[in-house]
Amino acid sequence: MPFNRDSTSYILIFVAIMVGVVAISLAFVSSALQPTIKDNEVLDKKIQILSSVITEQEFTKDFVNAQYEEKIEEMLVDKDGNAITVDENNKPFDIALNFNKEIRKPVEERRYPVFKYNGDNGAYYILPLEGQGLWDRIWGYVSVESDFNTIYGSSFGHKGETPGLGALITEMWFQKQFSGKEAYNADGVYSFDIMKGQGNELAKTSSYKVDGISGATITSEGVDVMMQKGFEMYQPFFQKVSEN
Amino acid sequence: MSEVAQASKSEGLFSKKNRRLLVDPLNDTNPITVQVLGICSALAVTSSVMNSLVMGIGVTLVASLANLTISSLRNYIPNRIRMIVQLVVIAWLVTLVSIFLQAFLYDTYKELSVFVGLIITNCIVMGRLEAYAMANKPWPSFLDGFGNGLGYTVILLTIGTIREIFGAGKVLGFQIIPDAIYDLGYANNGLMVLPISSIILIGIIIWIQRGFNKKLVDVS
Repeated sequence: MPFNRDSTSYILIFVAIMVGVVAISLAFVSSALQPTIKDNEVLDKKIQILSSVITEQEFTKDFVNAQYEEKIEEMLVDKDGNAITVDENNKPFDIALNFNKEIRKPVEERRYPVFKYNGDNGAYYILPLEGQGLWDRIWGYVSVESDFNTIYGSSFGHKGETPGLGALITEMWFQKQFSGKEAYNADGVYSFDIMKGQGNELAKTSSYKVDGISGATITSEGVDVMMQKGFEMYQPFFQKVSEN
Repeated sequence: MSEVAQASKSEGLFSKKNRRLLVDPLNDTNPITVQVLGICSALAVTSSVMNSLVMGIGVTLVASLANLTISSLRNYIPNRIRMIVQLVVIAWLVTLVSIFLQAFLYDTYKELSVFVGLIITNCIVMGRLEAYAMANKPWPSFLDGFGNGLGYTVILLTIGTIREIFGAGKVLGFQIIPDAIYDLGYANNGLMVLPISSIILIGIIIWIQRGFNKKLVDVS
């Protein structure tokens, strides 16, 4: 071989070329596919929003875009429930897409998106939620009926919960339990609760309680806290709308 | 594992020696049960058949392509930094797979985002690079990576199937154990959902395999 493979200069040249090739190829592929990835994320978010009101349906791309276009009315409110004008800088969907960042801002600066679904059987308000699971962030959408008490549906997502345990919050059986439950009791106190484990008798009879997930107590607790915080955040909005 | 199989000039693509590279890892040199590589991921991802399958495909793809790349470069890689070069190639391939999944199979990506990254740390890939690709020609190296990926997938699927049946009563999401049996008081086995059940299952698989394959039994 004409060159010495163990000389320092050869090693340096080899590394430089290797790093260059790897960096350029990755940067090229990543930026070439970025629009497709972005589209996927947007579509996925729309599916998550819609699946809190539509359950028995296969979400094809056309269906999702059509439904979102036709039925969803985007709104934005501040911490006191006052409407914020929707414009270029205040897009509810984009804020929902990065809701985890929005929620870290000081309370005064936060903008809360609300998605009003004008369905055939009435209107539902879809609220984005953000919380913490066992390993990483969890999020979700909960839809409430126009009494702002009865939960119509829910959909949850997670970044890195344990498959087979915490990750089960995305399953239909878990989300379905929420439908028809009530958030506030007769005295107007928040009473919704996710119980520990599965198969609780109370979850079947009480209108405020649902089952958690056996073996995933911390994730279930995370969803519970996330729901409570979500209802707290949107409480002023509920009042404003009810008064009018 | 330090087989140095130099293919002769006139050897066919699927000569007997090359076929052995594909078939041996399924049994005689299985990466999990014989070489005991890639155990961590075999414990972590086998809670369902689907996860096992996609992880198996991912590792097979990365192992064969990494073997091919490293083997093509083997005469140029400086010996002192070969491990770093191997890691860079693996990480590069995994990142590519991850970007392509995000763009074209977003649902699968969402399901597996954590596991895709785990391929980088899978010892099978690096183990085969070091033991085989550094000393052999590109085509046999590719087959070696592919064969080891297959051997890994077979074990993962076996464990995944058992765990999903007993842990969730399903296979690939379809219910296998009928409701009637649940009504009689049968319950899903909670242990099967946890990673610890895999190590027990792997142990049992190794036991059964050695019962049939006398080559694997220590002579001493």
